[in-house]
Amino acid sequence: MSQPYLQYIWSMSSQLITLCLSLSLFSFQSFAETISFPEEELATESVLPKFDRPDVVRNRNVTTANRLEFSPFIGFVSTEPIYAQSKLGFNLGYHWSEFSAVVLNFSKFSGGLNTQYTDQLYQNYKLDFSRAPKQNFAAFFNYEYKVYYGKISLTKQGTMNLSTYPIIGIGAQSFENKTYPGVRGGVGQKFYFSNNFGLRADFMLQYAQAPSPFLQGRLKAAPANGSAGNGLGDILPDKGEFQDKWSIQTVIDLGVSFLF
Amino acid sequence: MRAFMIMILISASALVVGRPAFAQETVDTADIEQVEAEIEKNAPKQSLENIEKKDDVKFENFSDLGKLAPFSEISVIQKRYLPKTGRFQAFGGINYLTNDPWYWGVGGTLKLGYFFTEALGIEATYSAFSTSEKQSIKDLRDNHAVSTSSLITTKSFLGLDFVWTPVYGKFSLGNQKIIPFDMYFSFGGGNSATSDSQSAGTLHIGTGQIFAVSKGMGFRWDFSWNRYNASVRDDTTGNSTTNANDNLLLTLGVSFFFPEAKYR
Repeated sequence: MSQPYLQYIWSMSSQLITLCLSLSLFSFQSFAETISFPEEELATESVLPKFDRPDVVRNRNVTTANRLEFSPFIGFVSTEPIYAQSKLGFNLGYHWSEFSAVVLNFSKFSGGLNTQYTDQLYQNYKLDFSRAPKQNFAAFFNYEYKVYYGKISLTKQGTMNLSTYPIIGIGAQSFENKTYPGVRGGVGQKFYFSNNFGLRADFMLQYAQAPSPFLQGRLKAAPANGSAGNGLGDILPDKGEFQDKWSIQTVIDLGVSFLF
Repeated sequence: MRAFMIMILISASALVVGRPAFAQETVDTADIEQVEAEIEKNAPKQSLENIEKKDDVKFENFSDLGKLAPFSEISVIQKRYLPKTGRFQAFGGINYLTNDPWYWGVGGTLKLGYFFTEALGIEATYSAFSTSEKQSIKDLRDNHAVSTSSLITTKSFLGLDFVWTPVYGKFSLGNQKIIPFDMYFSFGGGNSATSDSQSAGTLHIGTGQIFAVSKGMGFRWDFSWNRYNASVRDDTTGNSTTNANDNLLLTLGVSFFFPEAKYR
């Protein structure tokens, strides 16, 4: 074998050995022996790293900041024993950030009575609750704290965005004789089908004043034979005779939401 | 020179291999963006018939990568954080009767369920209520001498449901934290015990959400509608009628999943 050829082989071999040694150093780093440092050179305190952008959602699909919302809904005062429970209304709101919105919640009561109970009470006891002051409308200013924003998968076939928000509100209910104050608190959720449209469901507990329809001795309907009955029942009570009382009601609003 | 090039290539390869280890640390922040990007893609979807089955594709050259399945076949959201398949769920919570005009109803609910798949399961429920009269029923009785015996309320409910969980997703809590959750629907029946000691067959429909705290625990709310018929008798008039009773029940509590999830 010639000398130049041996030198070439030696040169290549040395390069390969150098390469292998280098790789070995990288590869066996994790198997290196434990190195002991003097106690005084070790750190005695630690700090958490501070990231510049801790946001977990950087690009919202549905943005609400600086947008108006209009949400017609059908509502229910599900604990109302005497008046009809259903109402129609709308939410008109302004979102001044991704987290906060103020909303006017206006609802018009359907009028009438909760016939599930009042029919039997009339039938069996001749109690005519139509004599009680009628409900007109309710208007509340609600604050919505949109603290939860998320995304859902529908059986892996598609996604929707949704928002969950606590609600607090203050407002009034108008009856035919008087307007009464109230406060409310609850939680709502919106399911967005697009950037501008979604379904909305709000669940609230409302603490409000209202006339009690159970006015003693003044609800009895006059007997059919035209007699005076108990002497009081055939005289319609004045609306002011109904006592004002505070009560807790459950309010459920279901509707659609338009953002523009 | 050749050795230097080899070193460069190996170093580059090591970097490529090393990257995923760091990517794992930011998966929570990245996946929302990834899903957003998928949604915003408006490219028309290819029908499944036209897609070559992945098993049939032989990968021999780089050009074969073009035969990979299109992106539309991939699930739109990453794996569920809270696995349920083959696991039990034990739930305990407080409940509130949200629609009874005459009685306050607050109590406790216990549920025990088993999931056959991520989406389907069964669940047994027991709810008990502590009830007290509202002012409305007191006024009716005291002011108008009305017998309130016909105004009954629910004391307990025992039932069995099919549970379907078609919806899962993620919430961001104030843009600071990701919370995975499931949304389910339940349908079933059972038996309600009333305040006048009747027992009535009950139809039950419910929905709710479970917010995962870990793979074994989550906060849960449930909103249920129970409907049953019960006969009531007015003690004053002696009339007996059969009325439909509807309960809207809100329950808040904590779910525990077991055995421990080891397959994710």
